[in-house]
Amino acid sequence: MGLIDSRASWRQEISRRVFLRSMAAASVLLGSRLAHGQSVAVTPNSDHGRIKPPAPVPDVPLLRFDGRKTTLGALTLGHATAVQLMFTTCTTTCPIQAAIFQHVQSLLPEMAARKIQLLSLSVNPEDDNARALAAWRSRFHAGPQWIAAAPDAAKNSDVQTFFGRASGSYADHSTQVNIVNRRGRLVWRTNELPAAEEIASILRRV
Amino acid sequence: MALLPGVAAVSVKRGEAIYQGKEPLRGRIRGQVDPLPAEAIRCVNCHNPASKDRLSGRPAPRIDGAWLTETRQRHGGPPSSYNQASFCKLLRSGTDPVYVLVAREMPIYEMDDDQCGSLWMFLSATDLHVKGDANGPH
Repeated sequence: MGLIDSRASWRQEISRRVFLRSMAAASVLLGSRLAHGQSVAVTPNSDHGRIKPPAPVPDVPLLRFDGRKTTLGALTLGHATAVQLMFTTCTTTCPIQAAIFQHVQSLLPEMAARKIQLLSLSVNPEDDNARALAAWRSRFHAGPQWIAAAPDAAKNSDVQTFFGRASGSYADHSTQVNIVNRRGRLVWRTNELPAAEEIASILRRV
Repeated sequence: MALLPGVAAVSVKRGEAIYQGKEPLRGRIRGQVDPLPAEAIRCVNCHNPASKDRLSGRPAPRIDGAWLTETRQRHGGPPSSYNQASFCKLLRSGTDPVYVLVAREMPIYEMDDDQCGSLWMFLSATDLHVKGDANGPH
């Protein structure tokens, strides 16, 4: 069972308020910038669906499950990437998220040939070292195209804000899946806990 | 579903086994067709009274007999309480006693009457002495 009593209603209400405040602030900022002839930076603030225009991923340093260091920009360049947020001690939504990626793996046996990858990105870099990330991959039978990584702790909030919602607690992270194209740009964000078929379908088309 | 040795078909003991995931369940996310692995949808994954939310993830209510049967506002709907029938309906359909859909991360389960009755018996007999915020904002 998972009798998760719906925080959805109050969370949606809070999200609505945050959204309205953000829109009001954005309108003021937009008006100000347009008045001064400046270009406008677009942030991927859509709740779900296509991201217009595609937004470059923040090029934050990452530690991979195999101990190698990279950046989010380098990791995503040249691949169609599905990104989910997680952390290794999470027992609630993360095993369900992992099951969804497991299913995507099975739906896309041609991932390597088509340069498609899955990325489980930790929102708890303080605790999720390479060993913890590797154990998490093993637990969920991740194949070679399924990478687990953690951002530099100082950039963690940037990652959470870009790929989900800014939350007071990493424990309440987004369960949406973000699709990054081969140029390292966010192009699609799904609903919370999407169907594996939906993710696979989008990845095939990116 | 094969019963664990020495466990009656409808019993607190069986309910506890279901709750802990020792008796695996079938379930899926509402709106999806594919079943999730049993270990991903164990009750205790989300409703473990001993868990620390910071370490375990998105918080969920700690459920005991009082939580189930007290009349209280749930999911933003009018005040309600659970009985066995409405509890089983929630597990199978994702709707609470006043037909409000619960959060999507709560799976929909394929449970027969004996399984559901056992889980109801176990949780109804549980007393966690939790009050106020420990049960979440509802």
